Amino acid sequence: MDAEQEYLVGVADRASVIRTVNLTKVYGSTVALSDVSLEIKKGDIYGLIGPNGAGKTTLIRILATLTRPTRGAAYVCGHSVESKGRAIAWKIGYMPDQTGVYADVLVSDYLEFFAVLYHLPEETRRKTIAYVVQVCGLRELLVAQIRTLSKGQQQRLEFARVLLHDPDVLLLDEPASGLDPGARIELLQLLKVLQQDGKTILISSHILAELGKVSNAIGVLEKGKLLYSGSVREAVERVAKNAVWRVRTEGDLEKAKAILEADPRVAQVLVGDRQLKVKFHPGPEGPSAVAERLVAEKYPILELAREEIDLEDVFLQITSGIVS
Amino acid sequence: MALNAMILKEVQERAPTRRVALLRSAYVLALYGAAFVVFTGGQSGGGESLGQTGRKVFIYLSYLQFFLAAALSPALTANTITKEKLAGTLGILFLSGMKSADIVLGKLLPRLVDLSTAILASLPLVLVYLLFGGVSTAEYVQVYLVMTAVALFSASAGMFFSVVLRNGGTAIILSYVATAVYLFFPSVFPKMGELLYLSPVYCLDQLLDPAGTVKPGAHVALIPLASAAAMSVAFVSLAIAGLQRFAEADLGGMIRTLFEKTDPFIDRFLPKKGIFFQSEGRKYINPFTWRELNAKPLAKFRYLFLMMLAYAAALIVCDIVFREELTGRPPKATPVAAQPSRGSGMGPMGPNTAPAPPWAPAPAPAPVSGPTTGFPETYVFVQIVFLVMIATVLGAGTIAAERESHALDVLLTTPMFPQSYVNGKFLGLFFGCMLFLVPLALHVLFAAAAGWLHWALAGAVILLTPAILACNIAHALYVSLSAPNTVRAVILAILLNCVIFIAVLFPWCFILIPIDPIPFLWFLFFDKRDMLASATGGSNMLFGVVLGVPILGFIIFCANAFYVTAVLGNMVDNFQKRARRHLE
Repeated sequence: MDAEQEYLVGVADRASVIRTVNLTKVYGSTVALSDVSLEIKKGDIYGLIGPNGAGKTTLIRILATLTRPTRGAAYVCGHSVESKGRAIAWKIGYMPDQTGVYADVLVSDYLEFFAVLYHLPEETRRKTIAYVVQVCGLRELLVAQIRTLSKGQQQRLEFARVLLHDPDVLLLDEPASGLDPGARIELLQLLKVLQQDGKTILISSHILAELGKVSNAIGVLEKGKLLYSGSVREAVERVAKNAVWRVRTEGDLEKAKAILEADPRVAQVLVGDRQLKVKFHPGPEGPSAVAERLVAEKYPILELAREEIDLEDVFLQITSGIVS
Repeated sequence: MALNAMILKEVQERAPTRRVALLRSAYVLALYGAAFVVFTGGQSGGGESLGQTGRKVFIYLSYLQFFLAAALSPALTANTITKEKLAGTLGILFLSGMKSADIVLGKLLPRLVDLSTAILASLPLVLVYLLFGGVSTAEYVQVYLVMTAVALFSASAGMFFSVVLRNGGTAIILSYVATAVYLFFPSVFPKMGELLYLSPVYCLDQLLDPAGTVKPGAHVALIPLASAAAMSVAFVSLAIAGLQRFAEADLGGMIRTLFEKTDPFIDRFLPKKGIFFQSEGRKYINPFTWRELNAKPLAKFRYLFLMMLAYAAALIVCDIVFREELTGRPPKATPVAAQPSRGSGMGPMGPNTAPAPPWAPAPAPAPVSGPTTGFPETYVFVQIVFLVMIATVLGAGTIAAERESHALDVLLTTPMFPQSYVNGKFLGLFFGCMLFLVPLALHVLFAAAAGWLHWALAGAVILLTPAILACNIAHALYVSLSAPNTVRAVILAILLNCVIFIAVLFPWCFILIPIDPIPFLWFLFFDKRDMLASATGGSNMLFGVVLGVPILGFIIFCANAFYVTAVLGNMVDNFQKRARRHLE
């Protein structure tokens, strides 16, 4: 049983749609990806985050069969990206970070062109185009020349093109760049709908706050290395161990700070605007025990809450090495 | 300071890499190789003196470099400013305090230096042949001045179009059109007298022809040089004046809008439907054929088509105006045998334009009747060359432009068939270019009906022009599939087709006829024309018209079709490898 057959068997068990094994890509002396191994399951919205030059686009292009890996293997829907490019082409919808549109044709012609490329029969073609045009808000622009569209409108057109053949896997490289806030929200809502339809979506973005709202799994890339790959909840839990707690109380905050600093469970205390920001050493009972201590010292607790953790915190803590 | 900064940047960007150094070395070696072939060819027969051979080498090299200068100059400059516009960096240059003149001159001057290097590359070689005699120093200088004139004009025209347009491809095409007009236009009017020297081609013809009109000591090269310098100053001044105005605006867009408002009918000529490909038991319109027929360059076809019709009409008017010239100089008055050079001696610009090819036979006997003035042939040949240029530029631009715009990335992630892609693009371009055959056919039929062009030649043009277009498009697509960007693709495709075109001067040119039938047309037009003319009024109609040329033409047509199919097949077979070459 070769590696691909082995993986195909694995797909049936685990419903993994995308899988990479020690994926490495080297450009000259630059290592764009280094031993990246990840797995994305069916129905996931997988957010790929990382700073510029981390290797996000390279990873997506390898999965889209545009770039060959230097080492390692990558599979999409059970097909190897190196040997089954055509089979993968039917399964994926790829949206590049730079819009690859024909600037000189009409929006309707552009969609028709790709619908024919995907061999949609004429009747289906018309219905599908009408559907994607409605979903992506392009109805008013059907007879516009693409070159006259704004960048955001071109992004929407690209997204419409991606949806034309109803792909199982969507590979979206920075799909929200260039979109106005309203269009971004619509895009994220649409991704949710597509997820409910069973699509698997790999999306890279710099707008982490919005990505956090839709993704159920993330991968953090930095300098070609995959620092984290897993569910968003697990990542947040890991970061939560280093979370900052907000304590609002009355009385002399400096004295309260001194009391807390004397506690061995407290790592750091900062005095803020009528509140304390407390960071605990790892351990389950930290916040409650400290609250009891303050109450015992006649400091009434008006509020004790953990500061909200978003994907930016996760990203910063993972990339800075605070969380492994 | 700012000008220096721009020149510095351009020079740094154009600093010779190993690849450029290799290309330049290959170019010089090719020149030397060509000289060697001509030299050994001339000397091996034993009938030529060193001086005669030296002159022959000089003539070959001069033509080669002349056409290379004309082909390279627009390509070097026409995409400079458009590239800045595309990248959005032109505004930044203005913000950094640069003036229009700094930008235009800063970009033009380093490229002129590049061109000078290319032209002067043959200097050591021709100086060696100077020692053999046969050519005077004054002739050398004059020929180089003519080349300089062409380079100067083409480069500055390219810069001008680069400034006023937004699309690099359009700028390159228009620069070539301007260069072609500059090279050939004055010589279309034979009554211009001394003003004919405004045409660098005519001037070069006369300089290189010992029996021409140039008297020793006459500095005729100064005429094209002075006119080119004046026009260059005008082009560059206009470019400088218009740089800020056209930084955002686009002359092409303005003209396009104008045409789109007044162009409701030409669409009907475009065969949108009916080009099918079969897949999984269903029929589809080949999307790539559709794409090529509706894409921007093809959309421009309609304008060019109108221009072509206007051009054909103008030619017919010219034919009528110069009727006396065309019909009033019968062959009896100018027997071919009286012409000094070996072979027929009729070049595209009149008598003895090109040196007689080494394979040319001895002069034919003087024809008894029929036209020999050569003007319809020149018109027709220029039109064919124009068509070839259009086909080459469009073909070379198509895939490379998709690569540049990242559309190829998207296409490669779709389940398209390589054969659908390659054949679709080829068919689209071919059908688009075939539009141009209509005015050409009209013109040659008119000329033939008027008795100014042999019917066999008219038939050969109508039969072989599609074959010429097909092979040039196939070459251009082939180059386009492998080239990293549009500009390089266009330059390489033009060079490739120029090399094939120029190869007609060499003895082994018949090997190339299945690859590109244009040498065959050249041969018919400018070498065997008089032989055909003698058949016109004589009794040999059957061989000349009914059997000879059409049968030979048909054989060439079939060989060419076979060759084009092979080229496209090779592209399909290696599509994935070549298309993905520059993706990483």
